[in-house]
Formats: sequence, structure tokens, C-alpha cells
Amino acid sequence: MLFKKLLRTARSYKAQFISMLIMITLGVGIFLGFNMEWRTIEYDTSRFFENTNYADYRLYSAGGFTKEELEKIVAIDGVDAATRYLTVNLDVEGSKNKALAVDVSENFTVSTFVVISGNEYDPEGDGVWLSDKFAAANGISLGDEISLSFRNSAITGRVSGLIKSGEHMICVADNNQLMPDYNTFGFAYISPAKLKAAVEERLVSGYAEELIKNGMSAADAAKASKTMLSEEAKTEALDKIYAQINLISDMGKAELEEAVKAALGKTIMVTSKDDHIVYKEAMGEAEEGKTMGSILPVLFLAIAILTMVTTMHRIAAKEKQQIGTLKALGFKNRRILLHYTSYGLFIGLTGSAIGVGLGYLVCKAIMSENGMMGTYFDMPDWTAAMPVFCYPVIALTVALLTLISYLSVLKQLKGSAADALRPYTPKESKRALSNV
Amino acid sequence: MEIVQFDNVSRIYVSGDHELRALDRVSFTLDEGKFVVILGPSGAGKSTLLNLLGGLDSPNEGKITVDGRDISKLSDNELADYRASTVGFVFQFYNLIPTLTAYENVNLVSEISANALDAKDMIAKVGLLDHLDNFPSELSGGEQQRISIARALAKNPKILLCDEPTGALDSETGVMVLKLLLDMAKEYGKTIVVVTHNQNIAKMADTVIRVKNGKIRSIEEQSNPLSAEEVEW
Repeated sequence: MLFKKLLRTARSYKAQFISMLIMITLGVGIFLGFNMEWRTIEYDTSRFFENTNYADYRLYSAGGFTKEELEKIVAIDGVDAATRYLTVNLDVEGSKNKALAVDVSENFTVSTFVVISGNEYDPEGDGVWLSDKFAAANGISLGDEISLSFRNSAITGRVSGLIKSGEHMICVADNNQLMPDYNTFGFAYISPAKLKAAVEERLVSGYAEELIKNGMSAADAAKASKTMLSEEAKTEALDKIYAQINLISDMGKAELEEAVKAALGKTIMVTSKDDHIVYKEAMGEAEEGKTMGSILPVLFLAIAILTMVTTMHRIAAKEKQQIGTLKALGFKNRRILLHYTSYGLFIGLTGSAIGVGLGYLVCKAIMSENGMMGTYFDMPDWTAAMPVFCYPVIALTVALLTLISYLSVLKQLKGSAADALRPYTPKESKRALSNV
Repeated sequence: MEIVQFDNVSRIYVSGDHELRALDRVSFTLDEGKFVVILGPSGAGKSTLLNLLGGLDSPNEGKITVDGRDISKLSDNELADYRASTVGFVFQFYNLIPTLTAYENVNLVSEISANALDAKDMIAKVGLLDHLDNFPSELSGGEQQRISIARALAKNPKILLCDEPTGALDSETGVMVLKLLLDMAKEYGKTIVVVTHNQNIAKMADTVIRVKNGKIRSIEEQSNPLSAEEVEW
């Protein structure tokens, strides 16, 4: 019977109940939405970085790195994986103002990619693994041929796979570009074999040009350049092109710098992922979200709770005679408290449940492929994640709302049943500035 | 047979330095099955007396025995049990739960009383079977008071306590309600205590207790009480 009363009372106070529900829903929804946003950035990007072996450190050398040097880096205690790496911006031939960051991860243990469609990575492959977003923006399909300008020649290949890569999660040409624009700039990976072939081809054609300049016929120069170039010259040219080593390690930067210096016998420029635009920007967005999530939503939640305090107090005061009647009939205080406390529990649970849904929508409006961050981050998976502390915060909010109801009714139950039956009289307020 | 015994009962209200003796060393007894009217002007202490008898309040001094049980020192929970099992209330302004129908208001007491009578039967007795599903706001004052009487009787209490039961009703409805109260009390063998300032109602009582300034002025036994219809309003 009292449950019926609960529902009907809720209906008779529908304006108050709805306003409390809205406030709790907004409070919980905005609190969750903002906090889920930064947690989702952290969760999704870190998973993506892990899946694509995002480099913790990048070593740079203008003269390139040899295979022996790579082996010495790999041998450092604390380095989990390392690869010679190339990333270079190349223009797309036949298109105006279109360019690709072309990457090669020599042993494909660091700074790799995930295939969205098409063929898996093949270290001997002749194809091009192209950014799926660039392909979509430019109408390029699997199997289409793409040609990239490379040192007065071209690297040409068919699109083997459409991919996403942690290294290019925020795909901008350089620090001056604020937002990705896949119409004009994307990224692609080629195999080390294809790079080697392109470098050698460029080396041979360069050597032939030199021979022609020295008076040799074009046909003889072409033949001669192919046979006269030594393997050492080819290796040297390839080494020079790998100006970067990307590695995965939990070591500190200073410690790694020392270890690299000791291993290679020279000082090498080392940058951590904190300096890499993708990681820096992603973590910056998460930090920004954390700041937002700790101020605005808390304010909303506090307002929601205050609304509950005043509204529940008003409802309890209005219900005082009914509380008194129940008490006079013989209902025990515990039963009456339980009945009226369930109002707060009902509002808390319902508001929080809708709030969780709202929070999810807020989070998805920001962090999804079609959301605000969808134009900035290029990730394969957009799974919403909630910070662990949100669970106790929601539970505490529901508990607090229940407690507010409990205390509001307890106040009306104080004293004898005869006291409870008397109409509510507000406390006499003290005169302020009475002598003025 | 005595069902109520007040022995030097006082109820004192303290507000700051001020002390008000709403009831001052009151002693009396009531017999079972009688219709008792407690008469007095406003502020005489009659409602305080009813509150103490109904377990809605506790005395500061003295002893109240109801049906052989001392109720003056009971805890909150014990008083709630006492109210649920021994007394039924009929209030001046009915005190029905506005969000429950007539039937639900009467049936509500079945949740607290082990000996509760059938709610529908009680509503039939007060002649409101057609209004089972009406909310209090859909009933007239007289109908609400009849539902209130049905609710009080549905608990199957030993004593029915009525605080100005006709105070908010016109005279015609008042007579009808009083007649109903008397008839029902007779049928179910209940003791009825009515608090009122209306001298006419006293003419219907077996016992009239006059209260003034927190003290009992007189206790009269009437051998030939009038019926509700005979009372001139």
C-alpha cells in the first residue's frame, strides 16, 4: 500500500520530482560524460599505441644508422624492441597539393600499423599500405596504383591494405598544421624491401647520369651503373636513409641517452614519446579533460545535491501531517523513514541511471569516430571507458540523496506522535539588523 | 469493568523559562463499552488528555493504565504497537492519506494490525461501498469522516478516540456521523472517548468528564443518554 502511495505521491509532486530527477541526471551525466571523455582518450589511445607498438623513444642521426648500430641498441639492457625507421613526406604524383608521410619500419617490431582492410603487412611486399581515411577522402581503393615523388624519381605501388597507425593517429604534416586534412595529407607504409629497391634504383640512375655526363652513351651508362655499383655503396646509401631508430623501453630518458652513448660511442639525439606530437597532443587532450572533469561537473553535482536538499525538505514539511497520521495509526518510525527515504533512493537511482546514459552520450558526442574528436584522432576502436572512481562517486551520490531524504523525514518525525501530527511551522528566523 | 485508569497524570510543556501544565494531576477511570465525552473549552487540556490516552504523547508524571497495561513509560516502538492494536483515532479533519483511495485508506491499517477487520466490510458498514475507489478529495466532509471511522474500526481496537469528530461538519452530517459512531461502537462493543467543546454531544454520553485549566472539574454518569437524533443542535 505504501508503495502505491510512493508512486502516487511522486506523481502529485511531479514538478518537484522531475526537477530533482533532471538535476541529478544532469549532475551525474555531466560528471560522467566529462570524466569518461578523458578516460576514454587514455584508454583507447593507449590500447591503440600498444597494438601498433608506438615508440617510447626516437633516436635521430643525420648520417643514418647502420644495422650494426641497431643491433647495439637492441642489445641495451632495458630496450624491449627497436627498429631502423624512416618517415618522410612525399608528394603524390598526379595530384596537386597532396602528400603522404611514407613510413618504413624495417623489422616491423616498433611503430607498426593495424590493417583495416586488404592484405596484412609483408616485409617483402611491393605494395603500399595506405591510410584508410586518406583513401576514403581521395576515392582510392584497394588495388589502385599510387605514385609518390622520391628524389627526382617515383615510388609506385598498388594499394595492398588500408590501415591505421599510432604514429599517425593525429595525422598532420608538421607542427604548423592544427587539424588533420585527409584530402591533402595522409600516411602510408611501404616494406623495407620496396624502400631498398627504390634507393638502389635512385642510386643506379644517379650513377648513370654521372657516367653520361662524363661522355658515356646512355645505353652503356645504364648497363655499367648496374654492374659497377658495389653492395657496400648500396648498403651505405640505405643506411643513410634510415635516419631514425624507434624503440620501446621503460627506461628513463637520461638513462637511455647514457646507454646509447655507451653503446654507439657517440652522442645521439633522443626524443621521448612525450615530445612526439601524437602522444603529446593525446595526453594533452586527456589532461584538459581531467581539469574540465574536476571542476564543472563537480559544480553541477553539488547544485543537484543542494536542489535535492531544499526540495526534499519542502516535500517532507508538506507531508508532515501525513507522517503524523501514519505514526498515529501505529506505523513505527522505522517503517515511515523507510517509506520516505525510498523517495530519495528512487530519485537517486533513477537519476543516476539516466545520468549514466547521458554521460555515455556526452562521452560519445566527444569521443567517437563521428564525434568531436573523430576529426582529430584516427583510431580503429572507440570504446567508452569510465574512470574507476566514478563508480564510488555514483554510489555515494545515491547514498547521499537517500541520506538527505532520511534526514528530511527524521526531522519531521522528531518528538511524540502528537508533535508529528501538528502542522509544520518554520523556525522563527532571527531578526537581522534589528537595531538599524 | 475499568478499561482506562488515569492516576495523578500531568503533562507539562516547557518553553524556555516558561512552564505550562496542560494537564495537572488528573485522575479518573473509564468503564469498558461506554460512550465517554470529555468536555471543555479551548485550551482546557482535553486534547492533551486524548493524546496521552491514545499513546500519541507520554505524561511527565503519573500513571496511565489501559486494558491492564501501563502505557506511561512505553518506548516509541512500544507506543506504536499500542496505537496499532489498542486504539483507533477519528480526527477532526479526518487525516486521510490523500494519495490513497477510500478502500486503500481503510485497508492501510491491515499492514500494522494483526486483528484487522476486512476493509470492504467496514466501508460497507459506513455505507460507502460505492466510493471504494474514490480519493479523499472526491468525497464530501461527512463521507471522509465516515471513511475515517471505518479506518479506525478496521484496526479492531478496544477504544475509539475521537477528537472533535463533528467539528468540521454541518449539524446534519454531524448527527449522522455521531449516530454512526454510536451504532458501530455498540455493534462492535467498543469504548468511545470523544473530545469536544460541544455541550450537545455530551447529552449522548454515558459519562461526561468536564475539564478546565488542565484539571478535571467533574465526572458525571448519565443513566439515560439521548440518542443522536434526539439531541438538539
